[in-house]
Amino acid sequence: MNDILTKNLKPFKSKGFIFGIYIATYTIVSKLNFYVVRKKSLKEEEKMKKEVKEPIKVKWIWPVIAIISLLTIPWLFPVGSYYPIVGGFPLWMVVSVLATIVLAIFLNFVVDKFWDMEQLVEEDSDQIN
Amino acid sequence: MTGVGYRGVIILVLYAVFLLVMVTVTSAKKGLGSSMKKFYLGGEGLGAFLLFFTLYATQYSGNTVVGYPAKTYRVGFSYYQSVPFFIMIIVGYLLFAPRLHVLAKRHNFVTPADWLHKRFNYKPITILGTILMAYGLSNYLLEQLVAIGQAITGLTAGAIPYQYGVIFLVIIMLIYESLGGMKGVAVADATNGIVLLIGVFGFLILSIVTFGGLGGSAEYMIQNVPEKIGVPDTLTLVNWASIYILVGVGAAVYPHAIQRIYAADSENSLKKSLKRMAWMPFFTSGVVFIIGIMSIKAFPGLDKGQSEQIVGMMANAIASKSAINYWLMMILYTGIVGAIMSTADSVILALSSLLSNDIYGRFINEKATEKQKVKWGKIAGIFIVFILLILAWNPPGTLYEIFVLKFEILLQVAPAFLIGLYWNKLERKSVLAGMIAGAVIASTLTFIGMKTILGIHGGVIGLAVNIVICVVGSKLAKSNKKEEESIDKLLNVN
Repeated sequence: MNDILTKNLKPFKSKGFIFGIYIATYTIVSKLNFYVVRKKSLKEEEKMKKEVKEPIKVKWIWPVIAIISLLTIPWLFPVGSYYPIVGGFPLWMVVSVLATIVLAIFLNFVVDKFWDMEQLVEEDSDQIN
Repeated sequence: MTGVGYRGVIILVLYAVFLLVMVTVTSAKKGLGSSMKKFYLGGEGLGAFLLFFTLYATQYSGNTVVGYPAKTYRVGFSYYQSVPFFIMIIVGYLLFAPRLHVLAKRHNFVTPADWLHKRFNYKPITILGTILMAYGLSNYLLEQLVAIGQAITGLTAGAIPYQYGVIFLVIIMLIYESLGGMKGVAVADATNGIVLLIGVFGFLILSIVTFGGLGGSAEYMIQNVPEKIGVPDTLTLVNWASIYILVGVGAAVYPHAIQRIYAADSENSLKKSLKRMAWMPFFTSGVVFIIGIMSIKAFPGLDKGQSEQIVGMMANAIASKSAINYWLMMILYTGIVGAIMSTADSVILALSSLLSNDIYGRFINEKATEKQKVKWGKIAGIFIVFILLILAWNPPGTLYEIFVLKFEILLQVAPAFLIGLYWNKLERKSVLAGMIAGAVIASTLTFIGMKTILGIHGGVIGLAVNIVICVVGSKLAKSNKKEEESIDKLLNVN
């Protein structure tokens, strides 16, 4: 009798066992899922934050701007010298012009690559006043 | 351009009417005067096209076209510095415009003093900052009004007496400003900017045709005026570097320049405009520099006074060759008048906003409605322009320097922006002390005739002292955690 009972209950028992595992797994997975998703969204938020770019915070561009700007001034040539003449201009001026062009290109690059704060205006536009 | 004055008069009147019509059609709207933001910042703001042209035409004044070739004539190749120093203004902008644009949109700033008030919440700073900016701006406007008179005399060959000419153009400007506010000014600036570019390039091409271009200029200079082609001495080079700071920072914190940061309809428009602006020095001051170099060989041996007339002499020589040349030179003169107008109108608008928003709205009638403020600003603007006109016609015999200070004084407001935007510990009393010290040093040096010390401009020396006081004073000051936290919140752009 006992045997029969055990035999009959076995699948039941195992079903309960499986059900229990299922519930446990579901709980763990959903918790985990919640945690992962949250973490992911946090990460995304962080990424969003990282996408805010402000030129002043990119330290290396400033010494570069200073150096290029200083190169537009003919410190490196002897005072009073004008030779050689290149295309009607003294060489010192040609160097100065080239440095100025590099400066303009670099500033364009900085504006393109290291300045992006528009989302801050959009995010906060509701808060105005 | 003798004997042709009446044509100049017709052109001037037609051009002025054209500007009025343009502004009326594009920008005059009902209800413009009901809001400060609508009137002074163009409502929702200016797009990339208008923003670029208003930045461009405002930055390059008539002095760029008339004064720079004359200066190049006198000093030679070293005045090439006028190209990079205009690029330095973009560097100046990059130091603070990105963050200021965001904060201005968040807190609805209209004038630079709005920032001072929000950041420091300290009346003495707001008042002093406003006074320094209004003072610098008034002198800048005075200079433009004098220049308008001279340009009109050139255009009409004296057919319009100097004073009537100035009054005529000033009235035109005041009308279109009153009709269109910032948007109207921007539309007029775009028109003026385009005419200026056409005039300058036409001038360059015809100068090359008439005076034979740069060919042989270098040889001529080596043989006759080697000091104008050789590498300048160290003092001049230091001065060259100093002017980068003076103009780069000074011109970027001009109130009308700051208002254009506020007026940009989006960050993208501001970025696009500044990127293009980085190239404009080549096409404007670079072009007039080459014209100036050509003039050295074409008109040798002029003294300082005569050299001031160099653009007029060249234009006359070009215009006398053919009818087409003549009309192109008329465009040049119109461009010069336009360049001055586009600078003057922006300065008048900025001054008017300072007077209405910061003087009237903050101290005279705190409860004023926006409509009242706009109205008051318009009236105050007219009032101050006419006072300046009287000054322009009766220049004081003594203390002439009072009316020369511009950048030197304006520069002293810069730390409140450049440092105040990033450092929460920048403390208000130190800022005030720095501002006062910087302004006193800069103006004293100008008054005693020492515009530069070892090549460095008085304004830059004042700024250096100003910054040291700001930083050291703030470090020494007792820190106020609560205040720092609230400033942190204000400055937080992450």
